[in-house]
Amino acid sequence: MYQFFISNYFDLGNYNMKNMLKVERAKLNLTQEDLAKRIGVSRQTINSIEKGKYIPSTLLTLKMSRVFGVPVNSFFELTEED
Amino acid sequence: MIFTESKVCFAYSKVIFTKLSLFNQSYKKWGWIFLVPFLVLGLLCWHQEFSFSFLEINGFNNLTDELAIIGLIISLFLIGFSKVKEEDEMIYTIRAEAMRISIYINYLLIIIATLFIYDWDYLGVMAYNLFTPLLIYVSVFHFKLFRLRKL
Repeated sequence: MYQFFISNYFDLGNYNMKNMLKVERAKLNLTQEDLAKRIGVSRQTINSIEKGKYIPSTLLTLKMSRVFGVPVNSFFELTEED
Repeated sequence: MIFTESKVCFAYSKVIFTKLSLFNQSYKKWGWIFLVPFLVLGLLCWHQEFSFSFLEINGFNNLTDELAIIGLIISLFLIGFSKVKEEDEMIYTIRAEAMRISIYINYLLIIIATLFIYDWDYLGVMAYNLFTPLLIYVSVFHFKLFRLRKL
């Protein structure tokens, strides 16, 4: 009920979404702010994506993949829940 | 051929619509500035039967309540539908979610009011209901923005 009213809640069903954004950022030595400026969103958006609170659109994900120079699958992963 | 053209046209109009669908960022402060006087005017009009004498027409019809309703709606619109500083896709999602929640709360309140309020008092419910969807939307949206800013 709390999540229903407060956060951006997505029902992923039996799946879990992991992201390795932090790792990729560290490789390029980028802060959240830098990455946000590079792809034209706010820092809070990057923060929410890293925390798994917000699932970005395909467009935004592809922009990130361009910045990192790696395919999308290497920093977003869909795993099945046990 | 026509099909592809209409498809392109549709996509293009979608782009235009999303670009035009929000007011400029600078309109927001005007919304806040006008909200308080119109809110006070509206409440005075409804509860105290207050009216400006210069808005009287034909000797019996007073336009004060019309002014209050229109002013309140416009100022709420300016607050709720102006761009925020960094308008990105997450803000778009939050906006949509705030609208959904405001509709839920609004109709929940109507159901409760319908169960407990009768006769002429119910007219008050309907009068308030002119503004509650926008009011709840604006407050939920700004509450979410406030929480976001703390991240």
